[in-house]
Amino acid sequence: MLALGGLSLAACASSNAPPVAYKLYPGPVRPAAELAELKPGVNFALAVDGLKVNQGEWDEVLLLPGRHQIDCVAEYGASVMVEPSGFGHAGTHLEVDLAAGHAYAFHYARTYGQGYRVWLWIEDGADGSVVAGAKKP
Amino acid sequence: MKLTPLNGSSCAAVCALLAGCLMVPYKPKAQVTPVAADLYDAEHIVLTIGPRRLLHDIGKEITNLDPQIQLVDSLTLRDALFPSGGWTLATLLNEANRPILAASGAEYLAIIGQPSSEKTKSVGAFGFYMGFAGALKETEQSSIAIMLVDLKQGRMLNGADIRADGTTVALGAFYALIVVPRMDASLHEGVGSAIVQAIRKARPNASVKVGLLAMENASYEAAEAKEAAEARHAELLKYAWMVAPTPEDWQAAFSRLGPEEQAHFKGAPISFGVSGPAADGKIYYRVNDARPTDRIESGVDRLDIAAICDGFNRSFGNGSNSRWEITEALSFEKRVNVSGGAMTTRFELSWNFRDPNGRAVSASATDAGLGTKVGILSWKHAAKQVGAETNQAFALTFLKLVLSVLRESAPTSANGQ
Repeated sequence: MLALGGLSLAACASSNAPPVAYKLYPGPVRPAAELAELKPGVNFALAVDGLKVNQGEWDEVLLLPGRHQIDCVAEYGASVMVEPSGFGHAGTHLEVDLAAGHAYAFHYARTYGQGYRVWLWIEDGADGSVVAGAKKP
Repeated sequence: MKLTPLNGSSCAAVCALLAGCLMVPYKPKAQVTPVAADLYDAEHIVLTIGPRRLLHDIGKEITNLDPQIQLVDSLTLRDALFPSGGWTLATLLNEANRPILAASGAEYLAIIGQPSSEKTKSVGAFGFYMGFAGALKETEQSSIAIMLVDLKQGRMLNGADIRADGTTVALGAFYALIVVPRMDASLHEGVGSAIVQAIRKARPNASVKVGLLAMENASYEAAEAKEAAEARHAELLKYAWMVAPTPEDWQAAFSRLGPEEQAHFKGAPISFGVSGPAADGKIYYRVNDARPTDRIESGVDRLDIAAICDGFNRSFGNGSNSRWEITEALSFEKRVNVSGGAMTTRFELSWNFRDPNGRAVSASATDAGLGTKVGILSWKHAAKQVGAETNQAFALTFLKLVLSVLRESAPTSANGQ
């Protein structure tokens, strides 16, 4: 019971921990309203304007608004029948205009089986609109 | 019933039996080799805090090895060193910025390179089918480079290469025993040790403030070298360079030309060949095997010129009665562009020809219209598709190039007579 309690506490502690933010702009810290926020999620590795954002290391990337070059690679588990390693990855290069005060999340979706298709896209958290890439129809 | 607590080894044994596999990790010894600091491409080397865990782990090693060394927060240091951005090594080492370095709050900056790893040898086989089976031995080598900057003096100190060799051994007969090297831990310890040694050499027995930043090569042209993109492109190129059109490919490409265009090819067979790989390991190609010409470095290692030549001649005639000669292959370039879910290939060809009157003709063709739009993002699958379609695309581009020469140089002998 104690162990379960400990685990629950640990889970709570980790879920309440502040997000680890990668400040990818120069100068003093700015308020969120002046910044664009990228949320890579656990599946994505990014390179933002050529700089790596390793998979799972950062919860969010804070950028100045404007046009940015983003390379993103999604990694996902897959059947060994289609990916012998048990993992698949798909990537693309996106050029995207990011607005101040907006948070953007990376998404992927795929079909299954041999020759499966993968879609990668970035959504604006404010209205769910796709700002780059292609969403699975 | 009285429960008896299991000790550590009993627990491990139970876990191993349940999992069917006993993992034995070990930490290989890292070797540290001092090297002169390499400032090559300093304007493209960007100092970042991106590899957060790497910096954290190395920082921990440093403070464990020498508690008198105080770590300065990497983000705080980056912002202090580069108040207006431009996080490059060149900016850091710019003499005009020395006062900023001195006032940054740290005395030394350790710059950590990108770890690299490669398998050097693999013997045996190991797998899982109704239990583990087989025996495997793999050796790998990991390395990382570091540089140290004296921020007070504004100068580079020597750097170091840290290298670790590890061996994975797996033995399976239903149950498995796997010995695994902890390469990352080994490198981090080696880096920590190298930094502490270098700092202590310069400042023995004193409290020292040290900051850590990672370096990345972030010139946008070099973006393909980024880890993920590199893997993707390697996968693409593995298939895409298999350019070896068959006679059927040539005929398919030929059929896409108009009747008048097709007429140009009658009586104008062309042959050329490939030499190499040469002693230096590179593939060179030359035109018309029978006549020695200057070797041209192909710049590629999988372009099967011999197959292209064979396919072309089998489709359009024999080189022995050729009235047209390709005297020199100036360049051949194929570009693969991946963008937004589409992959296109583009050929740029440039050759020198000799016309039936012995006149030299230069010709080049660029064709961006050829290629493949792939509406999927499974790169492996897409690359296979492109690989299959590349041959025809190359064949058609080449035919167009030849056609342009025929038209320009011999307008009156359009049918090759």
